[in-house]
Amino acid sequence: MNSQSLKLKPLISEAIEDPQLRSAVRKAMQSTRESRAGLVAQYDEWQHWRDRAHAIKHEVMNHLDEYLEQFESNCAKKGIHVHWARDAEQARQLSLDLIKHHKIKNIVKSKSLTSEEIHLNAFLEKNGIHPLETDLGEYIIQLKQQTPSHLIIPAIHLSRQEIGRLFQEKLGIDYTDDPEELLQVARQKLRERFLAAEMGISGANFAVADPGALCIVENEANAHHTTHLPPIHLAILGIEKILPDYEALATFLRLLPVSATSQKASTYVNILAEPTFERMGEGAKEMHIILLDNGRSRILADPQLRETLFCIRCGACLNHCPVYEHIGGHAYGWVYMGPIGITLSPQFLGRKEAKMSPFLSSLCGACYEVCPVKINIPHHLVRLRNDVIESEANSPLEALVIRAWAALAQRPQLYRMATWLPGKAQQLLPKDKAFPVPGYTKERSLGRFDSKGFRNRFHEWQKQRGQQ
Amino acid sequence: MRVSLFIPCLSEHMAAESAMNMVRVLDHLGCEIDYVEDQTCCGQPAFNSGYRKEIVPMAERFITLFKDKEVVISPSGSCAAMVKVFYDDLDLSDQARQDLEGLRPKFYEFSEFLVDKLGVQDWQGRFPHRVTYHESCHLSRELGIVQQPRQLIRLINDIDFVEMQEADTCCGFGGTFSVKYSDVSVAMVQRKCEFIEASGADYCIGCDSSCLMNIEGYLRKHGMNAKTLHLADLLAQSLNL
Amino acid sequence: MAKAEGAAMNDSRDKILNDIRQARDKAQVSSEAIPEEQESLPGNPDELWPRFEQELVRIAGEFHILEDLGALQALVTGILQQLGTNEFAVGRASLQKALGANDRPRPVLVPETDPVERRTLLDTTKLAVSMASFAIAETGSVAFLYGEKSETLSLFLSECVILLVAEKHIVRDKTEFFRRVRPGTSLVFISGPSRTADIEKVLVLGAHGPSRLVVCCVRNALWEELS
Repeated sequence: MNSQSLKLKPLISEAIEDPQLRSAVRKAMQSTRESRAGLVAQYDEWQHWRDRAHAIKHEVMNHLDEYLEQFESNCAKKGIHVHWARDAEQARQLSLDLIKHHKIKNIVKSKSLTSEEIHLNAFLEKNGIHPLETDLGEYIIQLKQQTPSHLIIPAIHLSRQEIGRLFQEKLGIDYTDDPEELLQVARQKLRERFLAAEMGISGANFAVADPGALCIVENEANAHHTTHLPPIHLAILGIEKILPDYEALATFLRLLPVSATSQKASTYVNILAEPTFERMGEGAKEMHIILLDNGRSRILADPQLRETLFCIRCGACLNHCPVYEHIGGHAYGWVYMGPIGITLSPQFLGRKEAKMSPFLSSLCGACYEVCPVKINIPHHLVRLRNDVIESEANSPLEALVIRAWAALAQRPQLYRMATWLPGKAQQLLPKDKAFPVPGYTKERSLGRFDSKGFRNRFHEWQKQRGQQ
Repeated sequence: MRVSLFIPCLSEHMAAESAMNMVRVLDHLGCEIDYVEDQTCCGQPAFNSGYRKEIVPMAERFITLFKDKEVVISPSGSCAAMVKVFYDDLDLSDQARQDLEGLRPKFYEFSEFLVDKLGVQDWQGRFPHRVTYHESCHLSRELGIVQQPRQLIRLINDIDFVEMQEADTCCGFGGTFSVKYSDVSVAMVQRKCEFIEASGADYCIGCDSSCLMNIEGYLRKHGMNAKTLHLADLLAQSLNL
Repeated sequence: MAKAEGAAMNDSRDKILNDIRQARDKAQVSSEAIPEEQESLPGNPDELWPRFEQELVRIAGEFHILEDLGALQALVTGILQQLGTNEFAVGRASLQKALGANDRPRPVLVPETDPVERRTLLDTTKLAVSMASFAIAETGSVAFLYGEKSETLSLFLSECVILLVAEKHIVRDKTEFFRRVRPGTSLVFISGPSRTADIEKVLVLGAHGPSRLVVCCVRNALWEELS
C-alpha cells in the first residue's frame, strides 16, 4: 500500500485560481454533458442496460475467483501467457523482466490508467527504457511531463495554443495551433515508432472469461497498432475488469462509449483472443497479460464498498461533477479523479492518507445519476467519511462539537437554551451584521439569526388565531 | 387533516419566516397544524460529515416523536431525505426500524404534500414578477420531487416563470462542504448565481432553506439583483397571508 | 521466465485467488438476478441496411451498394484517382483476380507479402480493400473476424479502406451478432474512420488509422463471385 498522503488544499487552490484551466474544463464538460444527454434520450432501454450491467458486475464480483480462473485457462489454451501481480511493485517487476528477457528497447504504449496507477512509466524510465505514449492526449502530456487531468481526455486542461507551443518546442516543428495539423504531426511521428516497436504495452477495458479475450476500445487506432504491430504485446489490467462472456460484453459496449465520449460505438472495438502472427503473418507473436490486484481483493471484502469495483472508467461521473468542473483533474492528486477518484483513493491509499478525499463533494448525486453501472457514489462517500471518523483522522474539535450537538439534541430544553444564545449574542453586533464563519463568509453574507425563532413565532401565530 | 411540522434546525433559527409561511399556507388549505415542541434536529449535518453512532440516539428520538402522527411535513428536501432514505443506514434498534417503516409513508416534503396528497390544482394568489427555480439535489435526486414545485409556481397568477440554465446543478452548499472546501463551494454558488442572473429572474425559488441561504449569501455579497424565496414564502406572499 | 520467478508467480496467483475467496466469505453478498437482454429478433435486411447507412454516414463513413463487379471496379478506380495513386492492397486472391483483371493495375495481395515487409508496404499503400464479416445496423459498425484467410493490417495502416460486406450478413446489433456468430478468433468492430478529440474536444478525422472508410453492401451474387 502506498504511503503517499494526499494534500489536496494547495492543489485545489492552484486550480481555482487558474481561469484558463477552469474555462477549458468547464467548456469541455458542458458540451460533453449536452451530447451525452441527447444520445441517452434516444434509448428507451438505457435504464434497463444500467440495471443489467450492475447485475452482471455484482455476479462477477461474487464469483471473481472462478471467472479469473476460467479466463486464465481459456487464455492458456490459445498460448496467451497470464501473469498475476499482487501489487504495483510486482506488476512493474514482471513488466521489466519481460522486457529484459526479450532485450527490448523500443516500446509503444496505448492508454492505460492501470499502468499509471502502478507508475509503470517512471519505473521503466529509471531502468533506461522509454515507452512512448501513442494516444494523442497521453502523447501530449508525456511531452509536457504532466499527468492526465481526466480519465478519457487526458490533455483537456491544455489549450491548443499551449499544445502548439509544446510541439514547437519539443518536436522542432513550426508553430501551429490547428488541431488537424497537430494531429498530422503526431500521426507521422508515431507511425514510424509503431512500425519499429518491439513491444506494445496496453491496458484493457474488459477481459472476457469465455472465450478468454481482451476488449480494448478506442477511436484513434493507436491501440490497435500497439497491440498488433510489435511482436510482443503486454496488457496490464485490474482483476475487476472481468466479464463472463460476449453477451455481457455487448451490454457494456452500449454503455461505455455513450458515457465516455457520447458515441453509439467507439471507432474501434478490438477483441484480442489470441496472438495471431503464426496463423496470419500479422498481429503479436507473443501475448502477455498481467492481472493486477493492488488492493482490489481487499475492497472486495467489503459488502458495500465492493460496488466501487464495478467502475468501467468511463468518466461520466467527472463530466457531471460540479466540483470537477471547477477544479479539473490534477487537483485530486491521484491517477483516478472526480467522484470515483475520491471514492477509490481512501480505499487504495488508506483512510488516513486520503482523509480529505471523501469530503471533496457536496453529495449532490449527479454522478450516481449518470453512472452506467449504477455505483451509488454519494452513499459510499458518506460511508468513507464515517471510516475517516472511525480511524480518528478527523479533527478532534469537530468531533467534540458534533458530539455536544448530538447530546443537546436529545435534551430539548438545553437545546433551546443553547440555540437561543447565539441569537442573543448577535444583538451585540451592529444591526445588519452577522457572525463571520471562516471560509464561508469570505464571499457570502450570512443571514442573521432570527430574532424570535420559529417556536416563538408559531406561538404568537397561534395566540393571534385564538388557538391557545 | 392534521399535519405535524418537522422544522429543520436551520429553519428554526435562520429561516423562521419561511417556516411560518409554510404554516400559513397549510392553514389556508384547511390543515390543522400540530407542532411537536420538543423536536430538535434530525442529525443530517452530522451524518453527512461521517458521524454515525453519535446520531443514532437522535434519530431514534426523532422517530419516536413523530411515529404516531397522521402526517409529517418538512419545508426541506434534504431533511425529508435524511429521514426517508438515510435513516436506513443507521444502526437503529429493531423497534426504531419498525417505527420508521410506519413513519416513512406519512412523511412529506412541503411541495410534494400540496401536489400529491392535497391535490392542489389552483391558487388564487398573484405574484407579477419573473421567477426561476433552483432544484435542490436531495429533493430531486433522492426523493424524485421534480415537477411538484414547478407545478405550484405555475399556478400563481401573473407569474413569469423561466427555467434557468442547469437548474439541477448543485448550488455548492453541501453542509460542512461549504466550510471545508469553501473556495470550491464559492465557485459553485457563483456559477449558480450567474445562471440566475442570466435568466433575468427577480426571484429564485427553492424548496430547501439551506440552498437558498447559500445562494442568497452570494447574491447579497456581490450586489446582484435577484433575491431568493422559499416556495412557502412565494405562495404565502402571493396571497398576502 | 526463470523457474524461481515462476514459483513466485504461482504464489501470487494463489494469494490473489485466496484473498478473493476470503473476501467473498467475509462479505457474504447474496446473488442478484441478471436482467436479460431483450430477445433480439433477426432483423429484416431490407430495413437494416438503410439504418446502417444512416448511422455510418453520421460517423463520417461512406456507403455504397454494389450490384455487380463493374460497380466495384468503378468505385476502386474512382477512389484511386482521388488518392492520386495506382497502387492498392487486397486481402484475398479472389479479390486480386477480380480487381486486377484486364489491364487494371494488379493490387498487392496482403497474405502473400512477407510479414516483415508487409507493414512497410501497407504503410505507404493509400488504399486497401477487404472483405468483412458482418454489418451492425444499430451503430453503423462493421465486424471483421480474424479468420483463416483474413488480413487486418490493411484495415489500419492505409489512408483509405474499402470494406465489403455481403448483403445477407447484416444484424441489428452486437447482441445479435454474438448470438449468431459466436466468434472463436480475434475480431474488431470498426465504426467509421479513425478520429480524435483530444485537443480542446475538436473532432479531427484520420488519427493513427484510416482517415476515410468506405463500406459497400455487396449483393449476394457478387459476394459469391468474390469469395
